[in-house]
Amino acid sequence: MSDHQLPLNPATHIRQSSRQVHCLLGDVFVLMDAASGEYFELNRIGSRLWKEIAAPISIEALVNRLSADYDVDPITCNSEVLVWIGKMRRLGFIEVEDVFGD
Amino acid sequence: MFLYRVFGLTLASELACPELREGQGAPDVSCVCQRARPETSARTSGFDAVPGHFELQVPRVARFVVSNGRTIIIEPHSDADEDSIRLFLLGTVIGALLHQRGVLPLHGSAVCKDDRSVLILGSSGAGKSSLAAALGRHGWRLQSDDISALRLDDGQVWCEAGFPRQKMWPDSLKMLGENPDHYSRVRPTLEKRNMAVASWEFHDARAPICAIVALSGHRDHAPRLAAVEGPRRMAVLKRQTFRAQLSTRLQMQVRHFRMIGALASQAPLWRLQRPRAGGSPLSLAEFLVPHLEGAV
Repeated sequence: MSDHQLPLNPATHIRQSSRQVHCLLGDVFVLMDAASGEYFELNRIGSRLWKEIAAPISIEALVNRLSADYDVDPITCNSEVLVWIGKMRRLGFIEVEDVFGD
Repeated sequence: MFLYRVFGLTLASELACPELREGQGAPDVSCVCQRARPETSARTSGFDAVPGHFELQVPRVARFVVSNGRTIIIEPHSDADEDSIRLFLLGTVIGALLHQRGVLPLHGSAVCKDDRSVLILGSSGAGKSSLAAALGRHGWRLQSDDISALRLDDGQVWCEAGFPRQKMWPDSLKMLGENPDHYSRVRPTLEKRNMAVASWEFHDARAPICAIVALSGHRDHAPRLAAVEGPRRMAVLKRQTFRAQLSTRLQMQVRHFRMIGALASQAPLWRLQRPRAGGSPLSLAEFLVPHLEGAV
């Protein structure tokens, strides 16, 4: 279950929430919040992240994949990914599963 | 019972609607009139929309009930005229019916050439009908006025044919070189006129959408056209959903989202700003036509 209070750590697994629907336009995703009916457009990087979290993935693995593909150091990448996750969580588009109870 | 075709549906109606095209076969929707209500029964206007059920109360006109996308019940008020009843029936009421059926109604007109549709979206008074009429002089036939019904089929988004009539303000008719006195009012208390569209000027079938024009006004003297990029198109299309508050089922909102997404990838969308003062629909059409020809 997603829990907004749950703290994030590198082993935390995240995934696309089941509360949304999305569609792909070119290389960019547009999401609909199933509760409000509102549409949200992701940018290119957001769309890449969105594709990666179709299935549960740890934040650590996500950051590794991204920093390998983009020319960015892991520390910057990590903090930017966390900001994105925080935003998407508040909007209800991401579910957090702390599988290891860490 | 009369049998009509509208927005891809066959409608069996007790109320005669001479503006609709004749239909045949098994009806998808039936429209029945029930005993007239005394005026005292409802003085306030209002609507109620829950999944599968819509009610609209129009003072001195009628109460309308739409159920499960299949039946429309009209309870006319005793002193109502049929023109007013049909105006609401073929507007908000049929919009609610389309929502119940999962068809996407957009607030806009449609024109068609070489079996490709162009949607002209815009709020009331933006000039959709006059632009559509002006495009008629360039070989674009009217497909729908004010409400366009969209269906996703075969991986494509199609626009359904509405009916061959346009509602026009007297000023717009004058700008098209027409005499408003030659046209009847849409209802006795409204200045707006009915303009019947000849069968050869009407596209009588559905067609895939090849371009979308979102019409608005601005202060400059020349019209302006700006392309809207893919994902942004979805927000424009969502805003132009006809009576979006009548889409009550989540399942339908999801369907609309997918349809809007498919349409946004299928067709370019342009913002067309027309001069508020001094611009005629005829010169606006001349400005727009080369862009449309490129999209067909």
